[in-house]
Amino acid sequence: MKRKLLAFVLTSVLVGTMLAGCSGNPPQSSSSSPTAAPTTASSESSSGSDTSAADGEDNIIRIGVVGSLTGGSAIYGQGAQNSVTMAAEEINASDSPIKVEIVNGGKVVDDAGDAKQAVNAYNSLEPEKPEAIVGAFFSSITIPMAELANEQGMLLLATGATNVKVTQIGPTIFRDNFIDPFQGEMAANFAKEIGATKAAIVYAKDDDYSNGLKDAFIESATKIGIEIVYTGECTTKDTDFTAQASKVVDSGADFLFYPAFLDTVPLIVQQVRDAGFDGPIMGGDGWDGADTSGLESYFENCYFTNHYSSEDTSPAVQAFVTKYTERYGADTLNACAALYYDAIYMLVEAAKRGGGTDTASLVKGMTGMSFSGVGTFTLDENRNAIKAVVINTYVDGKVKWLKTLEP
Amino acid sequence: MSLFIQSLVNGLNQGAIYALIALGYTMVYGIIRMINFAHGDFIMVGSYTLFYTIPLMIRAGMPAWMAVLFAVAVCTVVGILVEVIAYRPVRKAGSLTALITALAMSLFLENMAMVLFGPNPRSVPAIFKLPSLEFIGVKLQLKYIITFAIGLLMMISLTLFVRFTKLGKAMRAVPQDKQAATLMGIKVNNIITVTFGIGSALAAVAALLYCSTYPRVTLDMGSMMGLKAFIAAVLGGIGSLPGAMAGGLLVGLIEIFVKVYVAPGWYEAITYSLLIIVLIVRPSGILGKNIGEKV
Repeated sequence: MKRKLLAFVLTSVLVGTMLAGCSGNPPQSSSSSPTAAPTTASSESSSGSDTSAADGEDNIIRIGVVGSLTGGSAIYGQGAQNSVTMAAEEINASDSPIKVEIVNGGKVVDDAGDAKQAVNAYNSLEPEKPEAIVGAFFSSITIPMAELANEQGMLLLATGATNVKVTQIGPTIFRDNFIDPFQGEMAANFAKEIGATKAAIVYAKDDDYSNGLKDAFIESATKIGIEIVYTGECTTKDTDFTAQASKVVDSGADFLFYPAFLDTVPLIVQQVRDAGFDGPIMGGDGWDGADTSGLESYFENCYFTNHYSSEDTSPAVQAFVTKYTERYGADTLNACAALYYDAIYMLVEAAKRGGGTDTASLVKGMTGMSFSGVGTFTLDENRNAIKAVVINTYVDGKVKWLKTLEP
Repeated sequence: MSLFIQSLVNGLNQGAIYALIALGYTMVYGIIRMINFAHGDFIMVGSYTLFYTIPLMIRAGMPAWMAVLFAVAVCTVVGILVEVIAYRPVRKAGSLTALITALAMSLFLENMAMVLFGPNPRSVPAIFKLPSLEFIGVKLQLKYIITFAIGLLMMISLTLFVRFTKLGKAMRAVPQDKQAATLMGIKVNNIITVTFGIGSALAAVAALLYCSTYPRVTLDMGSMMGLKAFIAAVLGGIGSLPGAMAGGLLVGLIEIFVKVYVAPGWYEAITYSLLIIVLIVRPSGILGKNIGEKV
């Protein structure tokens, strides 16, 4: 009897954690924001008053940075940390009248690549009284953070969150990257260009980015005459894709779209190829940095859209690539690093345009900004960056720039 | 039709991996009545060992799978250390304390791995370079057959070992009555340590087969795999070796078939519901016995 009881308790704990894991993300963020609201609201009024008092004199932008230092996409966070450090050092060593200070001792706050930790990461910056927050790379992490930032009137500059909802949350939410409807449309156009007629899609149901990009792709693809023959779900934690792979083959698709993050990319590519699918496999910017070691031949005929290419010959990109690789090597030189790098410079630009380093001036300066850094773009009325999409492919397992599509 | 058979093949392969992990769970539970939640993390340790040793094997001109010998050695040492350092001191404090200690060990191993190996997922080089057979539109990879055969072999040899060797007899005596076993001249602590050693060695073999199918090592791979294998072990009747095999295959098949024919997003919910139903209808599991020895 005792054992039965123990077994029952254990099972309910297990099931409980599983259910929380599956459906937890949206309620998680909404349930945690009311609890966070009272504390943040009170600290907001105090931080609001003393930052504006302090700011008249210091000309230093206090920036909080959030990124994924651990978890399946840790390579992005490492790139972000390096490029943020590099940008801050460059700005502070230059003769720019505006200086920056990365709060939390110059360290990126870790969101662990997990939407549930996003709010914690954001709140941990609160005592540091930042004037702007930079991050994050993932849409599902950025959305709960953006909700908090909107409540507090904090400037949040998203760096890679492509889901269309992110900047719709409030007027102080900006981003320095393109949005999924555009990325999905470019992917669909490219699919058409390489002769796809019947497309299969596998997407991670528990991720905002994956859902948004899937919808965008389906909408554009059907419009230009690509038939969607199979839409399969997976989760961001899955390792087994053999079921989806066998369905892809069975559906007779000649093109596979997999909008998800780098850590599962080698798994699905291998399993889909092993199941006998030889057609093109394409993904979004989440593929950047995917590990192809040992799977070089599997990655032939694979493509992904991205924010920038390190092979881009423009002087700004090459200057960044050279500086970065000299200091940190090429392993973590990904789009995430470039986006965080630009974000720090954008805030400096915003302070110059807005005439101050407090949050309100930064928001004012950021609105409608045209920026030229690693990426060159203008922020539209929805605070999204209008910028080019790069299409990459793989040669011998190495990412190879294929073309750049201007908006 | 070919989709059905293909799913059967995929399901059996995934099930065989779960079964191998479940064997380790059930083995330890059968001897000391303790659910070792850190077992999944032994697989993580084994997989990282493989990640680092396979390139060495290849450079030395040996087949990649020989790296499993290192993994077995490392896992056995880790398993025994965990038992001696963490579990033995709390053994008299009751099963709940042991369970919580196991959860703590699981977190400890994951975080220690993060310090030692870094947070990035790693890709394990190909272990078996084998072709795949194709018949009536179904692809059957030879490595699947190897996985299945090793799972079966492990189960049979463990069952024989426990049933017919002197050590096995001692292992069966310990859970029946520790004091009586001590009086019969069995060194209970040693038997438990040996059990952990064997359980951890099994984890290393499971790691090899896991990595041959899913060549990716992450810090948290153990917790997910461990959960599934735990369910497999309970489904089959925890403490029963053939039960672990049956439970593992069942969980693997259910997952794949739900993904293919029902709704891919539901596979975990259905697996866990099944666990609840089995616990209500038949708490001892499919092949478990309510009374008598469990090994």
